[in-house]
Amino acid sequence: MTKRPQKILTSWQLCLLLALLILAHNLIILKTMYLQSLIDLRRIKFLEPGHEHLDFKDFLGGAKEIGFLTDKDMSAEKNDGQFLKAQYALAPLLLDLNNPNHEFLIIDPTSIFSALEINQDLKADFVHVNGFNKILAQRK
Amino acid sequence: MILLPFMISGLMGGLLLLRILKEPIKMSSFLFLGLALSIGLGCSSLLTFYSFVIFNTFNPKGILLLHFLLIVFLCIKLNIVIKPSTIPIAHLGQTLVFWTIWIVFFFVIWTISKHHPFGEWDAWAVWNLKTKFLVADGTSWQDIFRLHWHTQPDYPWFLPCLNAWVYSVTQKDLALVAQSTSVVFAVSMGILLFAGLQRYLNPYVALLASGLLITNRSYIFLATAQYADIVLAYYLLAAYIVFTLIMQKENKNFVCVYGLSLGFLPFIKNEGIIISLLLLMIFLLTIVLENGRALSFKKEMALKLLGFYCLSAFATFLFKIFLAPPNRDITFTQLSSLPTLFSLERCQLIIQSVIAELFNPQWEFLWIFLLFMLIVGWKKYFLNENKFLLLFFGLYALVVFVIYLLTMNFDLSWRLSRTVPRILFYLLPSILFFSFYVHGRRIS
Repeated sequence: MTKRPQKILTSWQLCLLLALLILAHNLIILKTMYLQSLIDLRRIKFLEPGHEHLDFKDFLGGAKEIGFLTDKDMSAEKNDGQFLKAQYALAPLLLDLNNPNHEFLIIDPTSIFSALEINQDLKADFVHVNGFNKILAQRK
Repeated sequence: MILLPFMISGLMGGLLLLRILKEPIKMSSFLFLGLALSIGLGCSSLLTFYSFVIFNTFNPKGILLLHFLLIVFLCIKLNIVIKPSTIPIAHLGQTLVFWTIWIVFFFVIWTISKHHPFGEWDAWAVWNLKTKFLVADGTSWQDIFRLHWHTQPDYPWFLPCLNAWVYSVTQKDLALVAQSTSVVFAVSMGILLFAGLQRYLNPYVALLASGLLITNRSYIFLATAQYADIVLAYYLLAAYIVFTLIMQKENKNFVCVYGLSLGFLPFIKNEGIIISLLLLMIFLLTIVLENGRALSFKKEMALKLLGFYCLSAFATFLFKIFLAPPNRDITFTQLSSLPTLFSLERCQLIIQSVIAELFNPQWEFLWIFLLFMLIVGWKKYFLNENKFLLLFFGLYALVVFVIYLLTMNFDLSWRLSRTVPRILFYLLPSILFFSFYVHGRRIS
């Protein structure tokens, strides 16, 4: 009669062994992440999303809602345009995407020529143009 | 100072937990803290939401008053004899060591979370943006419903309201508020997982399981990204743990805690509505099929569950029916295009995306390990209450699959690439708990 071979490890013990190995691996990575964070936090200055639009706040007075005009791709998949960033930075001000029927309008053009093209029908005054090529326009 | 509102919520949750359970409770300090936080933070979020309905503006004093009144009410109504300590002296040293480990993890994760102080894209564009509207003067909170649909104006407000509560106590910068909320949930998740497993397994094995989660780099990244997924994951795990406590017949009033936890889920994210309804249905099925219980007892359990569920889910009902615009992510209006949506190509795309994510190196073999656990002990997953817990994951996977197929306003592959990691993230703590519970627990 053959004797049934004895298991060296049960499935539960094998799971625990694997878990220990993964935990050890994780702890090594965690240590690196922690040390890297300490270094980065001294070197990097993290900027608020939409900081490119923050300077417009000074010109908007008591406006509750403004327009945001752009010729960039604003589809959900490509929503890395500046619209949501501007909305976040200027909240609780409401931004109305591609609706020119507001007194104040932020124009976020792909180029200065497209900005002029967008403004052709609006005939708005450029109140402020900042270093990030964002334009604040005011309709009369 | 930034942790003060969490402590107040924890105190409120603890009092409510004692009030609900009535009988003197024998549970570890870790489990008590984990469940007290889940109830307390949920109540804080709901009270903040109701404060907007009552005062029609952001009113920090009003929010504090509502909290104060609830705490005073609970203190008056509390007629339970609290045992000075449920921790045997022999285990006191061990408990202190475990607490020290969690405190160290808190500081490590806090430091790492500073890498994205404003959260990731959807966090600030969806959740933190709404907090900004909530804490502004006047009736700005109502403008949330007029926001562009990319900001998901129909999403419920658990996280923004919770952050508004933290802000109303601390008056700190909103970025710091959102960061602290995410870190509190990230670390509490580890503690809750540890506490849940500690009841059935050797505490060092429970620590190993929770260590696998809390040291995982993808988990840390997504947990501190300030998305509402970490909150969803926390309440799902709490529901799973309480479900097992009910099954062990620990205290019949745990069914009320279960109902409350399920009721918070729909207020966190739209996915929470589906999750809570599935878990509700599965629980009712479990008690119907349970042998050796009187019909009156089953009825009492079902009524308690539904009563407490309605109590915490009422805010979502108000929000969805009277305030929020309809959801645009999925649609049933263009029925003619349904045959194109249910194509084999789209089915393959969904399955491939999920498989690719399970084997993604970013997860540091964690999903491969969980699949391995499933393969080596698959029979155990169908024993006793395990089959009901497993049923949830099966049904939820099916629902998510259908929702993906019904995607119309987005490119499906883009949506999968953005959302599959997050779905796996919020299911991960519950699956880890379930896998270790199934394998490690001795079934009498």
